[in-house]
Amino acid sequence: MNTMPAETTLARWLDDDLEGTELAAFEASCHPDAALLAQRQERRVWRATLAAAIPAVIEPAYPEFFNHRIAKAIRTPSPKLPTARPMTAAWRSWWMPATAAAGMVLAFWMGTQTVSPPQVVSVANPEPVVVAAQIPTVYTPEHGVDAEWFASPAAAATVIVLEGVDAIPDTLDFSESVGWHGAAKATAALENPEDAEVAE
Amino acid sequence: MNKSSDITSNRPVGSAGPVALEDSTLDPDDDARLVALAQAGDMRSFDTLVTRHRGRIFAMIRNMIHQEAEAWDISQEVFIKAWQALPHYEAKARFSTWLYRIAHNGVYDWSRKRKIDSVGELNDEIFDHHRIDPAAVTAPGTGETPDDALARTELRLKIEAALAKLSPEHREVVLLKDVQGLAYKEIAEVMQSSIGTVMSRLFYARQKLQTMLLDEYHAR
Repeated sequence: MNTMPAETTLARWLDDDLEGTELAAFEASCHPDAALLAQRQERRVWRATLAAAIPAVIEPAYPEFFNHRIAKAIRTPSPKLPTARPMTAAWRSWWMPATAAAGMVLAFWMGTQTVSPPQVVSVANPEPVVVAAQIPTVYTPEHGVDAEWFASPAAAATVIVLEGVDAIPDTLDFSESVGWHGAAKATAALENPEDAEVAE
Repeated sequence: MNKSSDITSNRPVGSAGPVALEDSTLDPDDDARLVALAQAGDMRSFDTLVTRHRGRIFAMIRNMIHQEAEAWDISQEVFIKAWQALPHYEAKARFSTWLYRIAHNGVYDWSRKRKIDSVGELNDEIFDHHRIDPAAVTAPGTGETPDDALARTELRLKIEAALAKLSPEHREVVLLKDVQGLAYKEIAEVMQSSIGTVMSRLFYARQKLQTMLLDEYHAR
């Protein structure tokens, strides 16, 4: 007959982890000898040493603020017990994927039925090629600035309206702007080489 | 006596310092009653639960990560998450064990995010005693004599240094068993592992810890 206690039970006994009937049953079946008792005492001393040095309870700093902050965080949404799943939700769980799949099949079928009219290109009398109209986008690097554009073919003009740009102060003198001078010189040099020669 | 009155009382709290274990022994039956009230939406009951458990949760987290301010924040998150998950709490485990479980997740999430070693990363500047208003009702108290405090601090520092050298799993199992006094089964629930794994970790953790502390004693 094996009178050795299970390793798990022995370890729990050594750590005072057994209670009530479990403890009584263990001590009845396995009479701890002096070595085991000494081992248990050693562990008790160890735990006591650790517990004395490392606090098990430390009040957080500013405890009332600690509670207050938690209360504030949880105040709005109160916990709700999980409700029974409505029937519509169960119905949706299979109906929606099925509908989506049917829609995809239908779209694919319609795509296969669509036939483009044959294009006849006359080499002798070619039609002007129409470039697909492109919708221009206006890039505004500054945060908070919106841009809209208006094109007038009749006036051959495109107007870009910027909103959110900081007002230009009246004191700003464009003619004294370094960038302005630089850009103007460069543009002039490119568009009119003679001016560039004069400038040199 | 209404336990909720503890929340707003102006009693001096031994804050930012250890609290005697006997004073903070918690009755699970009281927890069960407070949890039931909190699940029904009673925020004052939950506030009482926070007051009852904040010391242990904060201590556990602080002992794990060794950063006072971060431990404060993680402890806050633990209780907020506990409130959010309260409708799903079924009292299969003790409320305190359930909180330790949330704290365990909180600490590991934090570690994953920060990816730092907790050794030597102390940042207690904001809790410096000199910076606390002397008139503050909840200012940390210092009940110990200087000699006791010094001896305790020396021992604590040695053990903390040794603990810090352990892996997080080994450190946690030692703290849960030898400091917090949880049962093997509870530790297994907190760490989501088997009792066998807990025992194995505890055996090796203690062995390493005792070896490290023995070396320090010989070095003196």
